[in-house]
Amino acid sequence: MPLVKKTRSGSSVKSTANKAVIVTKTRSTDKTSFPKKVKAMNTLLAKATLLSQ
Amino acid sequence: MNTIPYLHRKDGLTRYTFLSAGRRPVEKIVEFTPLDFKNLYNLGFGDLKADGKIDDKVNSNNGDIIKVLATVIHIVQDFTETNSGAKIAFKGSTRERTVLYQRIIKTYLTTFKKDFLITALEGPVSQPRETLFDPQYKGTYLAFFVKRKP
Repeated sequence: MPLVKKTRSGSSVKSTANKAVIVTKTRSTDKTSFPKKVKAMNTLLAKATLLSQ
Repeated sequence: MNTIPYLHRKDGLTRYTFLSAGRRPVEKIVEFTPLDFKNLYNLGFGDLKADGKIDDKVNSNNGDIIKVLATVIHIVQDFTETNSGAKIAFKGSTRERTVLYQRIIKTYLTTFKKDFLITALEGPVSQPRETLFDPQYKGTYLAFFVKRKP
């Protein structure tokens, strides 16, 4: 029975009996009512120069 | 913007709904989604349809746009109070709507600036850059950001 542990970023880490580990990255579009808009914004910002926080 | 906002309901940590009571009742949804950048959230806004689907392109033409926008601003204030350090990114679902948002920010900039730092994304799309929102900017910004002042 694999053990599934959620990381703070929402990624899933699955451990199996033979110690193999599978990491599945949770995308921000997975949990939104606006997946297309979120994807478009991420794409736009990936190319952008943003002011420092 | 002195308009009294609609009462809103908070569903969980990132989703808000309210009823636009203009010519007809229209349920609206505002949702904040974490983006791929630390402390940056996308603001999604649209109509919640009877079948549970969301339409973010519809022009409700419900005669209460100022009250609806006042409500969205109130919700942004609530979210950024709860999530200090959060920066909100948004753009229109169409170019016309982005132009409308830019005009509204320009009109109410003095009021907004009391509580928020307002920045915008300037083109070209292939290499955009974030700058302070300039009310005299002649073009159309690609997106906008608001962050509560400390």
